[in-house]
Order: sequence, then C-alpha cells, then structure tokens
Amino acid sequence: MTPALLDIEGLDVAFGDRIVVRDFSCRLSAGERLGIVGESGSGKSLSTRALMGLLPPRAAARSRRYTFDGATYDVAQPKALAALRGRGIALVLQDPKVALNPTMTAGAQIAEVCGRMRALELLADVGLREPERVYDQFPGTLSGGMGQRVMIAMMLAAEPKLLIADEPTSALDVTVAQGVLALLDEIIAARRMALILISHDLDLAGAFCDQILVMYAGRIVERIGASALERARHPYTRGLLQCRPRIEDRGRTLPTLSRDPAWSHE
Amino acid sequence: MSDHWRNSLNPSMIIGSMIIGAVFVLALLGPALTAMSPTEIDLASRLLAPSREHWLGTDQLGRDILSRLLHGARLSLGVVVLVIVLVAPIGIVIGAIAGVMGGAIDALFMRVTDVFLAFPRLILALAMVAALGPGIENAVLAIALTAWPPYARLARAETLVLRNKDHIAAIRVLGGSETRIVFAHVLPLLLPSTLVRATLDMAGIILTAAGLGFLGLGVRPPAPEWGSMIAEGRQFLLDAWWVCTVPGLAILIVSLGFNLLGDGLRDMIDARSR
Amino acid sequence: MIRVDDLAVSYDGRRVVSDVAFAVGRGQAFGLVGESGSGKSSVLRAMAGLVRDVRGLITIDGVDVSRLRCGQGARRRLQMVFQDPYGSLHPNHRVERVLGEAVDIAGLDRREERIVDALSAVGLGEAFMRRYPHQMSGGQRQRLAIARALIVEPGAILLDEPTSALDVSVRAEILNLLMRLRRERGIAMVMVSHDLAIVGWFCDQVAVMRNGRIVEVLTPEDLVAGRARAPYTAELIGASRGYRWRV
Repeated sequence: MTPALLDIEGLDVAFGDRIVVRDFSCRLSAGERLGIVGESGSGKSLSTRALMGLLPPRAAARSRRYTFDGATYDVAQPKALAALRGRGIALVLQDPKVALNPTMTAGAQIAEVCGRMRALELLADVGLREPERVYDQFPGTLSGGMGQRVMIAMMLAAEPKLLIADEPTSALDVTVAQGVLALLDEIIAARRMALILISHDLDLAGAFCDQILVMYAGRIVERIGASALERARHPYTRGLLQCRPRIEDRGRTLPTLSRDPAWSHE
Repeated sequence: MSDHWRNSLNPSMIIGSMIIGAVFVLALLGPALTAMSPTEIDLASRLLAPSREHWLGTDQLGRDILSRLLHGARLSLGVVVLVIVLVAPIGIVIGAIAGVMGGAIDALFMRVTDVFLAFPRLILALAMVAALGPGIENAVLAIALTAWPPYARLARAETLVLRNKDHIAAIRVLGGSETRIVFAHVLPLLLPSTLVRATLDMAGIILTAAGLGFLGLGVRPPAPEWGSMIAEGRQFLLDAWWVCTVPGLAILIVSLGFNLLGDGLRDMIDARSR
Repeated sequence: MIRVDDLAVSYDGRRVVSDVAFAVGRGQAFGLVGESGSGKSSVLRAMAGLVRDVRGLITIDGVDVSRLRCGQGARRRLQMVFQDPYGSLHPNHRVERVLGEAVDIAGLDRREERIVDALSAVGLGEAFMRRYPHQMSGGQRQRLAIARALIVEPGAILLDEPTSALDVSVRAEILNLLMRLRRERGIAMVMVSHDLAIVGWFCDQVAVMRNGRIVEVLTPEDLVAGRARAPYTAELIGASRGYRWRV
C-alpha cells in the first residue's frame, strides 16, 4: 500500500458549542481522487478548510491525527498550517470573481508566486490561447471559464501535492464546465496530484473521483467507491440518488428525501 | 436574533453610547441639580478658578460655568436633534423617490441636491442669519438646509442597488404601485445606514452650531451656548483658561461620543449584513 | 393560455432577444434552456413586464397584455417566481404580510382565508404566518414565493430557475409541488433553466436558446432519444449528460 499523502483522523470543527463537523477521517495517496458530496450545512467545505487552517475566526478544530507528506500537523494551530498552503495543499474555489483579487491583473497575481515568465507558461498550460492578453486583464473582465482557468494556473504555480477543488464548476455553464473538468483531469494525472473534489453533484463526483464520502449534518454517512455508487446503502445517499430529476421519469412524482433524525447521530 | 446583535457589540459603540448617554442624562437632569443660575450676573465673583463652590469656575460676569455648561447642553443637543429630525426623513424620502423613479425625476432631484451641496455650511448659515436675523430657530434652519443633501444621496445610492432586488420586482409584477415600493419596501431598508450617517453627522452639527455661536450668530447672549461661551472666553485665555477651555472640551467630548457611536453602529450593521 | 410572438428585447439599445415565439396551453409547461447570455431570463422578464424596451406580442388567455404595465389589469394573471429565495422576499416582512400585501394590491376579498389557503396549497402550515424569511429554510422560502404568485389567481406562472439555488434534495419537493399545482389548477408555466434534466422532466416542450434566439424546440422524448436537429442542441445534450471521460 502506498504511504498516505494525507491522513486525517477524528477531525471535529465547532463554532462555540455548536459542532459542525464530527469525526471526519480520510486517507489519501498521491494520484488518488476523493469526492466529498453533501448539501449546504453538511460540513463538506469546513472540513477541508480545517486541513488548511482556513477556518473562520470563531471556529475551532481538533483531531486525533493529522499527517501530510510525512509531517505531523495540528489542526488546532491554524497559523502553523500556513506552511502547508500552496506547496502542500492548494485550493480552487467556485467563483473566480470572488476568489481573485479584483484590483490586480490576473497575471500579476500568479506572478506573485512564481514570477512573470512562469506565470505566462502556466497561463498557456491551462489552455488559454492568448496568455499575454489574459495576463493583463483584471478578474472582473474574465468570463467564468477563463477565470477558473486563471485560478487553476495560480494554484499550479506553487506545485502542490494535493488539490482541493470546492465546487469548481458549479457557477459555470455546462459546456464550459466540461472544458474546465477536462483540464483538471489532465493536470492532476500528469502531475500525480491527489484531489479532493467537493460538490453537491453526486454524478459529477462519481464520474470524476475514485472514492466518495457522503456527508450529512457534519458526519460522514457513507464511504463508497465511485463505481459502486448506484449500490450505496445509506438511506441518505440512496435518497440523493433517487431524487435527481431524469427526463425519462417525466410525469412521475420525484421521490423526495425524508430526513431521518437518526442520521445526525450515527 | 439577539445573539447576533450581542456578538457585534464593539468597544467604539459601547464607549460612544456611554458618553452620549451621560450627556443626554446631564442635559435633561443637570439643570435641576445645580442650584446656581446660569445667567445671574455677580461681578464680585468674576473669573474665579475652579473650586469646591464653583466646580468649573466662573466666567467674566461671575456666572457659574458648570451650570452654564449644563444648560448649554440642552441648547446644543436640542439643535442637533431638531436638525436631524428635520433633515433625515426629508433627505431619505427625496433620495428614495429619485432612486425608484429614475429618469427625469431622478435628474431633477439630484440637481437640486447638488445646488444645496455646493454651499459651505457656515457661509449659508451666515447668509440665512443676515436675511432672517439671529436666533436659535434660524440657526437650526440654516444648518438643516445644508445638512439634508448627503442623506438624499446616500438614500438614492442604496435605492439604486435595492431597485434590482427580486422582492421589488415581485411587487411590481403583482401590480404594486411605486409609492408602495418606496414607502413599504425601500425606506425600511434604508434606515440602518441613515442611522449611522445621522449619528456621525451629529458631531458635525454640534461643531457648526458652536461655530455660529462663536461668530455671534444663532443663539443670542446671555444664553449659555457653548460656542458663544468660547468666543466670550477667548480674551481671558491666558489668565482664566477655564472660561473657554471648558466649553471647548465639552464640544470635543460630545463630538467624540457621537463619532464613536456612529462608528460602532456602522461596524455592527456591517457585521450583521455579512 | 399564453402566446408570445415576434418577441424582441433590448437593454440600453443592445438587442438581447430576437424573434422569439411560442405558445403554452392551460396546465402545460414550456421550457427555455440555454447558457448564460442566451437571453432566456430576458424573455421571462419581458413577459412579466419588467423590461422597458420590448417589442412583440404577449397574450394571456386571449388578451393582449404587451402594452400593459407590470401587474396591471389582465397582466396580473401572469405571475413570476424568482431564482433566489433569499432575494425575492423582503427581509423585514413576515409571511402573513408578504401574502396579505399581494391580496391587497390585487384588491381581492377574504384576505385571511386566501392567505391560509395559499399557505396550505404550498405545504406550509399556519405556524409559518408570523415567521420572517431568515427563520425559514431555502425550500420554505421558495414555497412562500410560489404562494405569493398563487394567491392572486394567475393563469400563468413564469419560473426563473426556481430550484437552482436550492439543495439537491429540496429541489425534488419544489418540482413536485409545481407539477401538482399545474395539474390541479391548470396553470400554464414557463420555466427557464440551465439544467436540461429538470426542464425535460417538467416541461411538455423545450426551446433551446442561444444568443437571444430560439435554436430549436423539442419534446422531452426527443431529448431522451438524442433527436436534436441543431448541432448546438446536441452539444448541450452531450455536456449535460455529465463528465464522460477519465485520462
């Protein structure tokens, strides 16, 4: 078994006495892809933010074990986790307009990490046809797909070992999303990066990742291989699978999810 | 909801509220507490330094400065409250209507606003007083005339953003009138920022009123208006510094209090809207 | 029930929709699908009367409402549900005020009765009357928005991405609700979405829009069978099927 790149066990995140992530654990090796699927409030984003020390100020985290690339870290010390960011773990977010600095040109933001020459190379690597032109553009003028590619270029500049992509295509048009996903696919494979893909879209996670974690109310309710998704056993996962509208089911009432309070207590 | 508010309390707001609260209480009750008259002349006691009998000393006509200060608080705060009460509602209604209606009405209202904005406050006040004569009512009017434009602008700017909100569109689609939209939907949402603006403005109004008083306009002697107290005390600055320094400090503290309160309110509202 | 002909919409002189025409019968649903910039939301807003520069014919139940202002006269029979359940409700208005206001504007009688009926039609109990929007979940807010549209007895409801901002498990509930209302009350609906599966499930016909024009109109059966005539439609269907390949 390849040594784990990321090994987190028993992660809890709380705001005061409200616990929002409970007992989150996972192991990930280089080149592996993990999908975390859940709805709003499931804790899917917060758990990964905790790994990078990017929780909001009023949140506190703790875990039984947290190792990354051979070194041990403490989620309760977010400042120390700064060392991980960029070179160890990189983050790509949903909306480039919000995640990029609107007052700096796209290229300048990448160049901050790696210099102008490399920035231009990276802009070309992410499939932008006119790197020099995009270099000088401000994020507000970039289309959704272009902005996302710029974010990916920025992420690549630090050459991370693990990429966390938090709803990277949710704000994009369907055809544009395909292109961005293909790009991510290629980059991750070529550099043997590990990937955590966070999404509300079970289908997307299933198609893109090897393993899926389904989260509900801060807990992992199912851990399943992507290829076995249709055979999921937990009622919440089954509910998510069944309540997707399909054109083929026209005329029939969609099955809905009835939330069992027991799921919050497993 | 109450948790939310409690979490956003900040030092500025607390200190500011305490200062202003204290000032209001003193203004209301103070005059009843001091036995000494603010206007009775007693030349035998002129320019006495602060002592146990006259806590803040006496001025050039022997009047107790502390009691003049407390009575003057009523005047100053009265001017502030009157101005705000006149100016804020009119300003935000004008701004909201301009923002909701757009087009020619918007242009007209904003040009009128521009005209009034162009006047420096004190100059207009001088002109008013020259035209109408000195007195506290005219001082209030003069200050009000230059104080309303920022409220209109602020209201209009916020309304332009609100105008595109779906809940306004929904009312339109239901057939709701523009009047309903302005008064029932837009105005209530403008109140928080208007409140902040008004609180911050109060400091400026106090200073302007004091400025008018200093110049001998606005409130007439022997009324204990703080600005005129400073003006009268100027000539004694070296020998009896307390005569003009004390009212000056009072103006400073009250302005500071309003500023802190306004800052704190703004931070609190920002936190809530995030 | 609804007919649109020769619809053209412009913003600030820039044409964003041209030559749009379709008809929707009682209790039927028509879908507008496309990517951002396709003009689909502009069509809806133009139908609702929210856009100034509109040319063309819009009729509801045979009455020409194209010249009427928003919500006036027969145009009130055309109501709208917006995408963002947070933005489409006034933050300081309670549920009963939201619905009561709609009744008042429309000048209808039996105010309390109508409010209770509208709430129960969307599956919200009377306990919700005194609640503020921030005390409700996204799905509940959207139900309220639907109740608001229903309470004035519309002949047609325009739906602008009604479930996009909702959690996946809540979408099904709202879609079921809309389907039921359509069938029980015979309300015609026009739904805009970027999600082909939702539109295909809900609507009787689907128009694919691009650059302000309708590229083609298909039935959901056509979609399932992949019977698209225009290459853009095929591209859209392919992209909607999900991420296909792995390196």
